[in-house]
Amino acid sequence: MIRLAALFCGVLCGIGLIVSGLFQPALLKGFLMPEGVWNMTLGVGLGSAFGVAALVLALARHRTGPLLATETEPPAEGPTSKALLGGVLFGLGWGLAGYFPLAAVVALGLLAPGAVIFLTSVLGGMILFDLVANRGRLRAVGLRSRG
Amino acid sequence: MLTGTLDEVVLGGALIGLAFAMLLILTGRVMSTSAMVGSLLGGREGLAAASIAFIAGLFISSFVFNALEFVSQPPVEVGLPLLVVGGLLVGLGVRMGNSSLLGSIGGLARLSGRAGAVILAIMAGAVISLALRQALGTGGVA
Repeated sequence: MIRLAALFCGVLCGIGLIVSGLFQPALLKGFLMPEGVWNMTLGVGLGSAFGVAALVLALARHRTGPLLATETEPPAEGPTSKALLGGVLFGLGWGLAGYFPLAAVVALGLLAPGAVIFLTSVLGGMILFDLVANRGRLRAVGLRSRG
Repeated sequence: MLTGTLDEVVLGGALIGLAFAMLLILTGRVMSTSAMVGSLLGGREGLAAASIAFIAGLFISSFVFNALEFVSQPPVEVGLPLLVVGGLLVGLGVRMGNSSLLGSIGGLARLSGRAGAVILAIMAGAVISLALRQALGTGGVA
């Protein structure tokens, strides 16, 4: 059941990324460093996503736990330097390649040639970080806040 | 200006936000790369299956849209070197800070101040690399 729910949410998110056009690699540059007319797609689309998520979560705020699982992943704690540096690295990569990971999965479904290269590199970067951070031992998923 | 119509962009964004909220309410999971792809690298029992299901849903929806010719491939913006280096940086960042774009947008919707700070950090990084691309004249193939 939990898999079915996750599959459904994936389909919903994919349709959202396609209908809004948010998966397109050109949007970031058009939003942050436009040449000519300012392309507001990224800001409007993400703003809409934020608004709806905030609204639905506010309506469900009295719920104590998830419907199909035992616990809810807590929001990570305060803006640590690791979180901020991680964010900057993420942004640097997004700016260079034009994709963020979930957008690249959508682009992969569209059989865009660059998507598979980008996603392979993302996986490589994640594994590389684990190797360096744990001296060769792959760590478990960072689902819990690790201080 | 917008790439699609205002309706499309707002509706599409709303679906993304709805997907985030539903995934959290139903499965307790955050819709982010670090949670989704991360659990494929090893994690708690049962979570990897849900992550694969989510990513499969994402892939299937775009694959079907493509097959029905409702949407066309995005134009290739950059060459192989930038895709590889960009991907590596994104992967490092995701793992270092549990920082991802949609995860942070959703985090902001959960009123997390950290998510807001991470979004600003992501945008700062993006401005730097876009400026770098412009300065080096590698808007196309690097």
